Amino acid sequence: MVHIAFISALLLAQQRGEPVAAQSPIVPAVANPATATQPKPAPSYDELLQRIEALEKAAEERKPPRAAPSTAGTFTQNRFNPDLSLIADFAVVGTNVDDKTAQRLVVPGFVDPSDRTGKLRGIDFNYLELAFNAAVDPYFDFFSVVTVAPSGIDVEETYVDTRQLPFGFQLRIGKFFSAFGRLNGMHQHVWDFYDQPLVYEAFMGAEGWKNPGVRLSWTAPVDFLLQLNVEVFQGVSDESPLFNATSYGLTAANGTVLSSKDSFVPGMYVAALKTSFDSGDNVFLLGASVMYGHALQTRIENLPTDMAFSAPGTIVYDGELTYKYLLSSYRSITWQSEYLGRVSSGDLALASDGLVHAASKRQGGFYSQLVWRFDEPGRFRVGARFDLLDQNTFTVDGAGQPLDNLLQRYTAMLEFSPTEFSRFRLQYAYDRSRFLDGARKGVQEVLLQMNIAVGPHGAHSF
Amino acid sequence: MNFVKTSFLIATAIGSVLATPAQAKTKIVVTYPYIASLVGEIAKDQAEVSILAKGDEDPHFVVPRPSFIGKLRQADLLIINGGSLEIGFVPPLIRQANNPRIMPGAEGFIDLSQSVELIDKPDQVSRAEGDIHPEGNPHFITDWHNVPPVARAIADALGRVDRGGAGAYQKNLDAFLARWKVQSATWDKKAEPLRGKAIIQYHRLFNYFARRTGMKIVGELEPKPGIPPTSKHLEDLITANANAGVYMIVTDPYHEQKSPEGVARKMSVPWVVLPQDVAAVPAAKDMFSLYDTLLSSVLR
Repeated sequence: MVHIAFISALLLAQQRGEPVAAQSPIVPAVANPATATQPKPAPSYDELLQRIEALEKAAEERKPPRAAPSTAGTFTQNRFNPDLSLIADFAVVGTNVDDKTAQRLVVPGFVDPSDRTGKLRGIDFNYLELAFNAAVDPYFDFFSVVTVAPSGIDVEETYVDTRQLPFGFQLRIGKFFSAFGRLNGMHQHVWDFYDQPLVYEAFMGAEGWKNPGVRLSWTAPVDFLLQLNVEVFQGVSDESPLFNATSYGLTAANGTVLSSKDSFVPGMYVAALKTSFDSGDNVFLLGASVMYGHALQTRIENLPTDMAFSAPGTIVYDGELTYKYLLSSYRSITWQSEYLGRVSSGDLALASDGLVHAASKRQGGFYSQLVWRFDEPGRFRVGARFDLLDQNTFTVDGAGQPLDNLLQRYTAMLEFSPTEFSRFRLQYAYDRSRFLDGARKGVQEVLLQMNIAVGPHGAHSF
Repeated sequence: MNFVKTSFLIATAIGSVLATPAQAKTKIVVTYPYIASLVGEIAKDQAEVSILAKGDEDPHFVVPRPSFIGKLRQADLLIINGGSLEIGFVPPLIRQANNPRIMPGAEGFIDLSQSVELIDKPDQVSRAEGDIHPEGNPHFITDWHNVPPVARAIADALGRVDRGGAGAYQKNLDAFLARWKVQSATWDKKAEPLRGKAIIQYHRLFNYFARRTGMKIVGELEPKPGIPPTSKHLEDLITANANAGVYMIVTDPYHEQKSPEGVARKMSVPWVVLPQDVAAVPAAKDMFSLYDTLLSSVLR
């Protein structure tokens, strides 16, 4: 097109007897001086075409070099960055027990003062959680949660899940929360209350049982949920009040050395079976779990402090039931209950008498909670929870030790979530499970919690 | 240790027995009823379809029932709307289903939003703007002209996971598209009187419908997507549009109805509940009656 228009212009110019080069704006005078000075017979079409091409080429060559496309981003790989979410948690706490006293409170036979974490009077920064996830390659997905809290930095979880195992199997390798029970695998920010149920705090630690290990999960090919998780953990942890497959060594008053050998590691095993089905707007979730491993406790209420209770065959079992009634797209009522029990027997080494005694523990407790999401856009929730530790026997050389077995707590909460990414929770708890110097100390507590999440959309599980 | 071994053996044994492929029909899980309706048109009785969301449920907030995991575990194909509409409930379900066939990137996973052009793609992405979708507005199915590309994508996916049936799916698709062409022409004609009419909607659900019919959306009851109406915002909305000649307030079946009713009363304009999906209202039984209902609800 350009050529033809240009040729016609040239032809036209020639016919008028005008010098072509001077008339044509893109043909510089120097390009072909001959044309400008000496009139010649009209050139043929082909000649003109050749001339144009030569001129175009010359013009092209004289253009300043085009700027090279930026290569600044050639090796940047931002798009491979993992998804990163930040979750921050704060609370304002008011209680009838000052911080110093709170550190001395125990749940007899269950929770030592050393296990107590967080929750101080006044304004608390609880934690900042950094959650990363990305596909590693076609075979693995990667997840990691790092918690930064006033107590330090903790790699809560870091693991890979397989993507391609057949027959409904999946393998998880790394450090992760056990699939035991309903709550153990849930991160703090999805809990329905500020804290764990008492029985979880007693058996699993304040945040739940997490450890380096391997999980094989299998989902059955049925139209409801039937899932089995089998886990093997290292079983050594100083975060949990229970499982610790390490040895103890004590020197008694009379000079006798009492000690044990390290247990075989990995030393902790979990099996958890879950099933769920629904009928219309009723959703049921049931589960049973069992944990087996080596427990080691170096402090037990009513016993001298220089002691060790080493129980290699400790079992914790759990039965769970959740029922959810979906009232509308946003409103629902959820009733959730769990019973946990612990059976543990082994050696009790006492430095006071330099002897190893046969000892056993049977403990158990449950919680039951009701949570109602009651308003139309689904921003408000109200809930109540009852905790009870109802079994608490400790036997040494066949003789029972007196331990309280009616340890209860009452909790109520009201929650407002402006969006899925921010939440305010007002919680009141009356805790009758704590003891101070051997006497029951009722603890009342009111707190306002704020939880915020930024980053990729956190999807919610059931 | 024995206990672990035993559990493992049991799991493996049950696994191999139950996982033996015996199904004749292609098992398909879809997120929304309209997708099921389209699958029905194309696969006829060759597929077993499970739907995760109900039509009258908020498509953004579907309760992730654990039983969905069992269904996804067995699925040959998972079809989602996409455009981040399912971001709040589908990812954990897929993760727990342990089914490599339907993982994103696999042959048995399709995202329908990729076969249509999304509108209202935000330049800036910030949650300060509410529940926005970086990919654009995901409610593309309210435009009947978006149905053919979506139907084609479904037929292609069905043909990939069930190669034996590909021919039949193509035939059914052609028949459906032929019927659709005729219907679309009638709907186009039926929608003509709507051109230029100003409407207010609850959430940005009907932007594609408005664009198709030539209606002008002058505002939303939500101050920002996903943020419930405030009385201040509603008053501002009424004041701002007092002279805009608002034709109608439209809403969906799952949001509260006090706000649209109140605004409609104050502005003295009618308000209607529109289906955003098949089964959102009883009259919208399938793809055909969905658009019949949409149009007849706004034509009065």
